[in-house]
Amino acid sequence: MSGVTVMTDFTQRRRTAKLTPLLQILNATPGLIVAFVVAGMVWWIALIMLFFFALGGLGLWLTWRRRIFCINEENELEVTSGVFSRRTRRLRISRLQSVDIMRPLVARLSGYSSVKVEVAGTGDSRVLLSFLRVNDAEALRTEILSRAKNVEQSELISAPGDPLSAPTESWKWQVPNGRLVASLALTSSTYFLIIGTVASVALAIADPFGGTGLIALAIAVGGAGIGLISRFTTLFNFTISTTERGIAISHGLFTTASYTVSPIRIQAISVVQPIAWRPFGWYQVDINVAGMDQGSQKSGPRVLMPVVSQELVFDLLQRVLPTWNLEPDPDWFSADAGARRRFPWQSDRLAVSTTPDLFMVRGGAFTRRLSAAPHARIQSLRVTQGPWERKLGLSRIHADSVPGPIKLVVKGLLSETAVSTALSELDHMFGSRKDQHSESW
Amino acid sequence: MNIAELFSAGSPGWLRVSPKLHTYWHTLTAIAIAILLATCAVVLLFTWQVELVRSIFLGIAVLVIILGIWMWILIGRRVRSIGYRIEERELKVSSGILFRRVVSVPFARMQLVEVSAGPLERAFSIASVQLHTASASTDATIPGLDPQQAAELRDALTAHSSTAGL
Repeated sequence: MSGVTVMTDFTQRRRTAKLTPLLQILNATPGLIVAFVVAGMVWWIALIMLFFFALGGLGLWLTWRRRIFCINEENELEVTSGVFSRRTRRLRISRLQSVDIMRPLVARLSGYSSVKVEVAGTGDSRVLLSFLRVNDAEALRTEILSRAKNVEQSELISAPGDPLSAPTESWKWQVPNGRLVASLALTSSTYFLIIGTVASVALAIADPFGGTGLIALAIAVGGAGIGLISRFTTLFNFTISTTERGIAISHGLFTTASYTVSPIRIQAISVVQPIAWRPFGWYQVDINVAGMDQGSQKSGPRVLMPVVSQELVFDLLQRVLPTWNLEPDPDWFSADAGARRRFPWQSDRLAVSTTPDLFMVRGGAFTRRLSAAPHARIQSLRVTQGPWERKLGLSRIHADSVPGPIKLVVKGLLSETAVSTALSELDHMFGSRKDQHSESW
Repeated sequence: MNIAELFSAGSPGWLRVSPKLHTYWHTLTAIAIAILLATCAVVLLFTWQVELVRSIFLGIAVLVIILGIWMWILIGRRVRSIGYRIEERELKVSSGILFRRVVSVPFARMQLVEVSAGPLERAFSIASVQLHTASASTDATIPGLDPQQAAELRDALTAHSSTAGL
């Protein structure tokens, strides 16, 4: 393995890049600097910290040294790790869910990236290989994807009409960063930021509580500001394209993330419009993706499109999810007139619809949303009723999807409508499974 | 089918849970009340002189007693509201008095059937059965089943899931 050549033979057992321990240390630099500045005031604390730092470095180096990966004969990604007790993990490439390339800032500046491999299954189903040189990471990703594709074709796992095996034209769309900034400026976090800032300034001038209220406000405002900035840096340079392997999404200013999502894994979509976006006709599209880690929000894509204009939103969805047969305006069952007393702001918007392929709900007073999920992807159906709703003769229907940003709920339905809709939806859910045999839901 | 039939309380055809769940939930409520009251008592013992703290914790103790009695009384209705039925292609679970809910889980979506019994549940010889799907919000838990009943339910569910084409 010389310095310049790209890795080609992944069947050989190998380590990740030599610089891995150093990069991992550099990744933690901001925290370390703060720690050292604080500790630097007392020399012996600094000395103790230096000792632990060296120990940590040694630990990282040993971990890297003892971590070996390869693709074995059984078409599994095999990762052996552990300094003292060895542990081998095998990920079956035939059950591949995704191969994503992650690039934290330090790694990006030095031309390295990590590869995250995820297979279907619960528990021990993901591996993060950090760090590999960019070319090696790309090569590994291509290798794994092509192996997964070969398996799929030879064993005919993919059903006919599967969007993966259908030839898709390559198509690409990038969100202009200016529009991203404008759209973020028109969300509720910004209002909160402005109101908070004004209130802070007012409090600073009047100062009735001796500064405590100001500090609390400053923390809240800081939180909103940081939230906005992190959303901007995360979604910066948002690019989406369709490839033969699925939908490719990449974004990020400091840490770039790129995902390849098979359309099969998309369980639900939601088209969202905050109130201030209405004059511009902008929409955001969220997605629920199967196989994401339930604990971490950052493990998979949650946004299919941060901001898109009205004319393009259905075009986008038809390109990305051609098998879904999205109808812009299906037959809606609206909320009951009595729902106005329980949901005064949004009762006009509340509605549910079952098309032959999809379960669709809409709602939202200020932030409007329209969510849809194919019948086959709905895991269970709930009908619920609170005390007030019971008095008004209303019920709601929840369609449970995999963990993600989208909750499919329709409120304010007349109980009879809710029951009949739920029963017909259940019929759709039973029917839609028979023709689908996919290993990954 | 109308909405009243959809919720199990008071409608025939639903399978009921064991009456031992009453005793179990009564015990749980009693333990919770005892712990909360004991905490209040300890705090009051040390801070009896401070009037503000005293009145706050006396208030809390009274609130705990009132809420405890209310919950105690409601347990009967709560237990009676729980019902489940195994249909041709799905399991339905219904529960709740104030906030009523019924969840329907098609057998084809079941990923895992979990039978669990904690130490206190074992002491009352009851068990709960929980159905897991790919969704975390599928809330299909049936508490307070006889171990025999729980095992039968589990076997029925697993038998159905294998015929459901998974």
